[in-house]
Amino acid sequence: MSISDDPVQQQGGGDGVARRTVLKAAGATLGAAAFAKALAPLTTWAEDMSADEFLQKHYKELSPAELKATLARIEADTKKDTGVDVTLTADAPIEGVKFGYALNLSICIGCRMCAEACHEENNHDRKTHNSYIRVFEMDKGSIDFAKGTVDYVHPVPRDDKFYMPVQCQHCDEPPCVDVCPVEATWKEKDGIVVVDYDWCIGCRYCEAACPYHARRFNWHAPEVPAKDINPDQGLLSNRIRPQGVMEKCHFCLHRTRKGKMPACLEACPTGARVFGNLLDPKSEIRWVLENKRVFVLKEELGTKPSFFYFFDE
Amino acid sequence: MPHPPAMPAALRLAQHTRRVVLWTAALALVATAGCNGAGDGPPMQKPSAKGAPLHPVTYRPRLSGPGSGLQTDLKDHHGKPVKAPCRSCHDGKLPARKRNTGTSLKAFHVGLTMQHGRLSCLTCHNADNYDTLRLADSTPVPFDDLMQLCGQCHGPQKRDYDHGSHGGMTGYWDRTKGPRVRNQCVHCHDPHAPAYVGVVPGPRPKDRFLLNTSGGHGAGDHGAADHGAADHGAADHGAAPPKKPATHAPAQGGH
Repeated sequence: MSISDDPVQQQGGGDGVARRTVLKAAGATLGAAAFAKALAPLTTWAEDMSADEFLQKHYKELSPAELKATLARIEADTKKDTGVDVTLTADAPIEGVKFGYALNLSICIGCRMCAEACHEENNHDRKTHNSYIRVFEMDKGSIDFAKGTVDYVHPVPRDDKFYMPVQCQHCDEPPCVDVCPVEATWKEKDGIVVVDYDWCIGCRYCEAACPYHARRFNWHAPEVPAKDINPDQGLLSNRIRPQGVMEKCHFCLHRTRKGKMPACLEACPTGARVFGNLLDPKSEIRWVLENKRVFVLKEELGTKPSFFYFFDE
Repeated sequence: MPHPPAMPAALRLAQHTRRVVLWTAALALVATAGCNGAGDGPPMQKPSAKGAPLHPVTYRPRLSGPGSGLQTDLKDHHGKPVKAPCRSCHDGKLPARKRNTGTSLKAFHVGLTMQHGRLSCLTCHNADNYDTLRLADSTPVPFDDLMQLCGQCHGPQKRDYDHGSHGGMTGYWDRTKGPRVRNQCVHCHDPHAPAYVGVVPGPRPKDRFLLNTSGGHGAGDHGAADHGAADHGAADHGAAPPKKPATHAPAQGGH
């Protein structure tokens, strides 16, 4: 359609210009107002966020000096907010180590000590009793999470049930990492899938993408009484998370990268949990993988977990 | 840049907006530059030297304390419980080779029920020296080294234990960096009645996915698990009966 065919244009005459100007002005005003409204929350950012925090780089882009400054800043902020002196570290992956975790379903009794240890170790919100581990109680015979319960309170174990703790499987093909629009979560060289709490925008795509329900969202900042705060903290692990970011199991990297066991393993009274270096042929985890009946959860999804389940005989 | 003083709020907003836009642009530049360059992240830690000496694995002390003997309710001047050595009674007695329960006893080991296959006392206890145990081939072993004793019959469990996939532990996965402490069989399994009897589980999650569930098993359970959880030691007492879930009894004697 040509311009000359347009009846509006033809009859508009001198009014056409004025109308366009009005529309433009109206549009510009609305646009400006919307823009101002959209940015309005930022006018208060200075109250609870320092410029350094606002300008915080992505973890992977920090130089050693910047990393040190970041650790010091967060330590100071934590001291200011909670009154607790914490030690914040950022241990790098160990060369030649890829972490693997295996869990013996034959001897897990469902006591939830692992979930409780996670709760305490990782400075989880006390009110919701958050933990990166959920222990499912299911009928023997099949793995049916829909029929499983996680809030049982009766003495365990029951003869007709089995117990299956589920946490981040640290997949080699992690769907949560694929969907993150800002690369705030990634897989480290030792296999641990981590979250940069300062980079996460809280869109929760990763929570939706994870087939294991391993990710948690901080609807509010975790509330932990000062006396219960674990002062041994890691930048990518158990430091107190801000509101509005995702979090997840990180294999206690502030412990495991120093050679220690994860907190959930130390809490397990039965020894159902086996942790170690998958690249070390003499490790316990390798013995389990080579000698037990091992499976991974939802294998058909192709996520390639680093977390394994196994049975005795 | 001169501004009319009549619009301070708008001005502040404009300045904020400008600052935010500039920072966003700067961040975008930094991020782009970073992605091209240092995408690999911080350097990795050096592995421990190959063949570095391994730290030891030790056994967690038994609940009845190290060594042999019968727990008494006496305490020494350090406040530590006093154990009566086995020989103090058994030296003067003939061993009861057929006995396999303590239920008929009048003094000591009273009420000791034996639910461990068809074993008798002297299957494991050493009649020649009651302060030791003994293997099937009559080799004496100390009380603090009973893993090999149990392993005589429970081979698969011993094998799994030796490979770190049965029995709780604490310490280091990387023993070049630190030691490890392991539970012994008897931390969970009472040798006289080894079937695991169970515990009250730790606190249940209370997140938004569970708000509409009954929270376990209906009325009366509220907070039960939370109390039970405080008892980390429950699992230690393999022999103890499962604790009943605590109930919120109203305070007595208030009237």
